[in-house]
Amino acid sequence: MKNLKTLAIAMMAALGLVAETALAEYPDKPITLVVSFAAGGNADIVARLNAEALSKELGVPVNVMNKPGGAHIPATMSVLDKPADGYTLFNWSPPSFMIVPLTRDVPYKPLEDFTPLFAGISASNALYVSADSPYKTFEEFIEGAKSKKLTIGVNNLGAPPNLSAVQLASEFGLEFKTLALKTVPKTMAGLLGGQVDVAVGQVASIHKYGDKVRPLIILDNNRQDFFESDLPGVRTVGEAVPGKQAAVWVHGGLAVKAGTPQPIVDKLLEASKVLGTPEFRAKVPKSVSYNWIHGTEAVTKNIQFGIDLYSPILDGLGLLKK
Amino acid sequence: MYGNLDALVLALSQLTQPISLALLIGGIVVGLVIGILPGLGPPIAIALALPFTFYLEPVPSMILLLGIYSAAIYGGSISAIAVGIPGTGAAIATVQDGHKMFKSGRGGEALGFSLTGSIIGGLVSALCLALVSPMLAELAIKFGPREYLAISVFGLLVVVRVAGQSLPKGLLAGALGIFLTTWGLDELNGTERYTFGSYHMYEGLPLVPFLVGLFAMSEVLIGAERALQKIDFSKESLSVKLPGLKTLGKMKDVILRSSLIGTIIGIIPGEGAAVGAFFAYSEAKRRSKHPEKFGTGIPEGIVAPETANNATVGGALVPTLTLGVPGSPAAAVLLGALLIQGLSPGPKLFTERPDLMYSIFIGLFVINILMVFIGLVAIRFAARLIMVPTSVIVPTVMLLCFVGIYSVSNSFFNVGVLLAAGILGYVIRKLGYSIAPLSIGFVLGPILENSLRQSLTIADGSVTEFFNTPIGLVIYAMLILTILWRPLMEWFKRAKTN
Repeated sequence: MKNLKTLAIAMMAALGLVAETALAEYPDKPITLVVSFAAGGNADIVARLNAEALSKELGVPVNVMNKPGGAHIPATMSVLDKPADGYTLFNWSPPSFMIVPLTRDVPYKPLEDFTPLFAGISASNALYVSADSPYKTFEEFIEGAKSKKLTIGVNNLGAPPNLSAVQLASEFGLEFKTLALKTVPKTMAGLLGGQVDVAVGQVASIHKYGDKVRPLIILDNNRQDFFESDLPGVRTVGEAVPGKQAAVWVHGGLAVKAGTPQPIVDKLLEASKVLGTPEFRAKVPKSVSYNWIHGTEAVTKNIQFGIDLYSPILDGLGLLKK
Repeated sequence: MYGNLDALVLALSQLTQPISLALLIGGIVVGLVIGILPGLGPPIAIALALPFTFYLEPVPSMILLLGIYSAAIYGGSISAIAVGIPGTGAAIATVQDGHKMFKSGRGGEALGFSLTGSIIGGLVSALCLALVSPMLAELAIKFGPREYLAISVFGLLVVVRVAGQSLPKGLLAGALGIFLTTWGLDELNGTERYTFGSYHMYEGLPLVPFLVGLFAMSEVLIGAERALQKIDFSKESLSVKLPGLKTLGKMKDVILRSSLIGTIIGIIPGEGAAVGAFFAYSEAKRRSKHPEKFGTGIPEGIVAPETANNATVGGALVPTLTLGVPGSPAAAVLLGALLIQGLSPGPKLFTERPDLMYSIFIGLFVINILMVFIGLVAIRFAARLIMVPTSVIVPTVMLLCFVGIYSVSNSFFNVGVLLAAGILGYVIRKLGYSIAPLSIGFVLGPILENSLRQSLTIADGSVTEFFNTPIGLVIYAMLILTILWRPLMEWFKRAKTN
């Protein structure tokens, strides 16, 4: 009897050990990283840099697969269609985890169906005019925008730059003609070409356009350390006019399907620590801002902050899903 | 020019390193193969090579990607001519005359024309890029919504006029193409249109599977009908001939015009090689003394589109490098490669890295020259495809289409679109409609819709503001002239004789 018990314990231990080694072996085949943007943009580039660094840490290839379009839903669903085994990673971003689920019926719930690992790529918006614009300062711009309906360039309707513009308009009682030019670089080019009077770009956009454009104001009162290195001396809305609100939430990072075994999540969290090091940051292009948040709990809290921030603005636009 | 002699010397020393030369040749070979395969085009080819550039310096990375880009655009014409199926969208306009010439026993000659045209187009656009890109960048930024609208309307009507036999049928097919692009989410306000309750349709009908289905699958289905027909050919048609200087001299106007059209279309962001090729084809036909011969298998019908589509490469690099706005989907991936290298393409790149700019200019020249030799090897095999019976080609192409489409997207939905578009193309061709206007409607539809709606936003209800676009007005004037040219000339002739 005693022997039998020992045998049972031994067997259980063996089974446990087997289970342990099965997990310990992760990863033993290539990992796919699904990106919901087309190849070549900022999000894709940072995802590829992430993939390269993770591949080195984990010892298996991490392959980027672009699935652009369809309001990011096909890409998101393609991850949820796969087993929760840590072999399919998702490059989450404001549209897939925030704007799209807030504005339309989607077959997923970002914070319930995914376990976020970290946030890296980030952005804050800034208001730009072309270098030869009559508006030299933010104050002159506000005066001008009150006397004349200016054309404002944003990337997409409902995207963070558009939401920044909406917030600016409502805080200062302005009215704009809004032109959606698809991407941030095209929005900035619209400024150079004279198609728009003023454009919402990112704080880091200055690195591409230098003295061809003039930054007027940073559309984010939550001062980040990259503001001073990108746009030295440029004020935020709240600094220029105390009491006026301006906020941006643009973050992105990696997530796995919810239900992925904790040891695998832990292994991915451990491996992704390298993505927060100064060495990795140095590889991220200058025109991309980076704001490192690591760990499921911290990232979930950050995403919830964004949902609370954008829900009322989207509601004001009549876009919020009821 | 943009820097000094040091930068030029630095560029040359980077280009002549063994690794650069190896990547140059490797890039051309890879690009050529991917270009030949239906369904895999330049953007995919470049994206596949992107991870390798992580481990390379900026100059070798760009050389590799540019080699792939140029060769993939050229490679599409080989399958267009030899099998009647464009390997890439860029070669759609080449099918008409290219494949007819091939079937009439002048395959080697046809392949020679496309190679020569591609090289010249590539060289001319590289020259434009090297000499006047800051000026050309000025042109690119002048293109706002109202200008896009004008060029899209121009493109649609011009292509509809040249591609079909009858104007009403062409217009109908073009309209069907535009209609199909309205499926999916409204890009501006997110309204669902014809999504049939499936999120797969949010993206709309995917471009590449749709075009490959429309051209390749329908050709396969039609080919299957005549599987038992034998094509007679003479041994001489197998040998590849490059056109002599005398022949090229006769076509110098077509070549020069097509090079410039391709370069300019390339510069305009969003308008790619397919549109450039169509514009050049229609312009060559319009200017020709014997426009009725276009579509029957004449050299001009190959040289014009093939020169133009390779000329879009240099053109597309202009806004990519000088504005940070990609001139084509393939250039978007190229832009990404530069960003990964820690460079910021935009107005500052010229002053920051003059050596890289020189390397790109010189690299493009070298790529085009090497492409002659590598291309000659490839088309020697392609010319022999005429000996392969249809019963072998049909299932092979079909398999390649399925594998290509599935491997790019990992999506069975896209394979379904491929099949459906193939059946649509087959039915339409059987009814006597041409699929080229349908395809150009499908390519230009989204640009047309977006630019129209953005123009309406800018105009804000004012008609004068809607047409307050000097470039747009020039394009509209050219369009009217294109349509009225022949009737007007005939009217003048009649007036003279009377």
